[in-house]
Amino acid sequence: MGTVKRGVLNVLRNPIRLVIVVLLVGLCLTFVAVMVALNASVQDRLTQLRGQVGTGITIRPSGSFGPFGGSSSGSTATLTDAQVAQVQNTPGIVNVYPSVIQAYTGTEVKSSITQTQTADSGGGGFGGGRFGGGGGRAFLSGPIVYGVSNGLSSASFFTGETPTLASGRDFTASDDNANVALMSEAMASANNLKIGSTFTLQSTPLQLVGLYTTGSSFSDNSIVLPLKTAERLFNLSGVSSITANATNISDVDTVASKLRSELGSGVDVVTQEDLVNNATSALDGTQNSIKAALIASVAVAALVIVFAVFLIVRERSQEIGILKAIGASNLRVVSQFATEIFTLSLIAAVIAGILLVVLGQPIASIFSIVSRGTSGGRGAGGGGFFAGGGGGFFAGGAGRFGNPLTTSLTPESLLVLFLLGVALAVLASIVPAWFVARLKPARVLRQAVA
Amino acid sequence: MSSTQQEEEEELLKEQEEVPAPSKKEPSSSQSKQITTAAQSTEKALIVAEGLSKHFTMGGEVIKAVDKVSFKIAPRQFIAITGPSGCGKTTLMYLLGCLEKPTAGKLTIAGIDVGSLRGHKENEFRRRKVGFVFQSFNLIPNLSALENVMLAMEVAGTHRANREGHARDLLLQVGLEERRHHHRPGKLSGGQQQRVAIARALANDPAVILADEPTGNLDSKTGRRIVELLQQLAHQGRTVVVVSHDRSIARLADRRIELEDGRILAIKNNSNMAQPSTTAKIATNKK
Repeated sequence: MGTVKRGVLNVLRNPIRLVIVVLLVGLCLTFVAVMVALNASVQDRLTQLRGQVGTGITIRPSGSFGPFGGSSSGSTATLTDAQVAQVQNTPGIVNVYPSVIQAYTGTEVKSSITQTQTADSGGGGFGGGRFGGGGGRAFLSGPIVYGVSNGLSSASFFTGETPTLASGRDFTASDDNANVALMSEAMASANNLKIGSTFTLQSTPLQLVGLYTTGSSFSDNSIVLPLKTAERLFNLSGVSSITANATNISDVDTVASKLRSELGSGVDVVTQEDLVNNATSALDGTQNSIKAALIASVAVAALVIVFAVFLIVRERSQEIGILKAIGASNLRVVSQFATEIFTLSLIAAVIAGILLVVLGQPIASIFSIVSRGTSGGRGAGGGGFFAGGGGGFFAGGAGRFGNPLTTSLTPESLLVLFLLGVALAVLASIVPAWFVARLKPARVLRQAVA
Repeated sequence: MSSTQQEEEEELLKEQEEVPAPSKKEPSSSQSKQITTAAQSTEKALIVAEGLSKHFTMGGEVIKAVDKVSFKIAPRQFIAITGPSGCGKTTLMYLLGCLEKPTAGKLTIAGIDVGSLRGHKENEFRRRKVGFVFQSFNLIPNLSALENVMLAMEVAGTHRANREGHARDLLLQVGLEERRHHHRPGKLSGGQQQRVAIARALANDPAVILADEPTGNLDSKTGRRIVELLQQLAHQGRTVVVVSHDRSIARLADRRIELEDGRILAIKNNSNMAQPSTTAKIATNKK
């Protein structure tokens, strides 16, 4: 019987200890694999969000941050034409897109999303911040009407998605203040409309000239009008917000400071970086928790296996003494124990793989900020994770945060489990190596007689 | 172990064996004794101890477990080391087996300066030059009798194909029936376990068998059979050194070394010197 075979069979010498050790280590490895997957998932999202920081600056009436400023039924606070001009004339600004965003609460058009979709897709995330600082409405299922100054490309959807024209045409200069509209394909389908059809909004007949898609069911629940048309239909004396772009990213803070001082306290000026930081702070917190759990899991796994190996080596000190007495080298004895430890670690890694399949998602949900949002707990009623930060800058903001963090048994997870198993085995092998090197066979053989 | 490494180690041991035998000069210690008989005067001593000491320090106090002992043992002898508990018998045996390093003095076995061995040379010495038999048998509990014997051969680098047959032969020759060969130690009686331990000690055909209280855990009848087996090994050409309280072992030995407080009290020759064996010869380890 070779050293390797003996080492593997030795693992079975104490079945109860084997079960306890592999279960404990397996559970720890499962946690480690889940935490590694979650950490990568969160990091991806942070990178995505931070990658969206650009030169954009959003200006809105004070206290209205969130796409519908102040109340879910639509704020009456607007920015005047003079303020728009002031922004346009600020040095360092290259373009300005005034826009109107209104939640439509009438019954002339049907929403493209159902209540079920709303609940399933993270409706809770709309609490407070999204739909107005004080409103505390859980969500709105009615369509959102955007008024844009420069065609579909200037549409700044609060969810961040960029609409793409799918059929028909975009607005032209001659459409300024005309009774024309663009609509998502989903909305058109929900209302049995096609290009060229006429529908009524705020008692005004509008002709549908183009259809677009956004990739998000929430963003699809929208209608886009020319800016002046939207102001007219909703009796607004100004615009809901202005999106301006600085010349380059290094000028953003300077330009934003200038705008704050020129526009005064009645206006909120928020940069994309501010919004991203606001939004990512929750993810940063989650990531820190995940990292802490990861370190704790590795430490516990290491402690369990090192302690188990320590016990094994201690109780078999006589056997080590015999092996040394019959001339076995330290390397041979350590190899036998190392084989045992590797076998233990590999069994634990297999157990961890099985546990990952069973427990991975429940563990992930503990750290998933969105799974709470979907139940409405966090988002509803003010605050929420992204309270006051909606702004419309985040491409896919709600959509991305709306996807729960997931873990699964992927090749990467298996590799993590395998490598961790090997690393723990190598770490734990230090115990027998140290013990065997120090053990004097004469001493343990004397103790055996005693 | 690789065959190259094994060859190197064997070469090193061979070189040591070729070193001239130690001088026959008497040790200066008044306690030292020289064992010389007519039978061995013509032979080169296999084991030579000169002023051999082993001291331990416990709680700041120096304990002289073995203190300046000197003796020579010729090949093919059955030697008993006797004395009261704590007189240093086991320590002396561990020195002979290279399980302890002497604090002072010199110990030469088969021309090898045992005290100077370190690392793989020390391991090689234990594998090939000595075989141990312990009071509590010290078999590996989760290996069968056969596997315990084969383990010693594996450690010594015996080719896999030769291990099982030779181990079976040894077990049969020490009197363990074939149906017991696959039994684990827990399923064997004390006498059977000690037979397995003797077979393991013989696995690599050592020149010296060292037995520490081999009958200590056995009833008198079984113990007597084990002693006869050890005696038989001596008659067949091995040097057998037995540490024991047992007076019957001392009587059966060719000579006995009596220790007291780590020093040699007396060395006595018995009349039953090695005679040609009439029993089956224990097989040698053929690789």
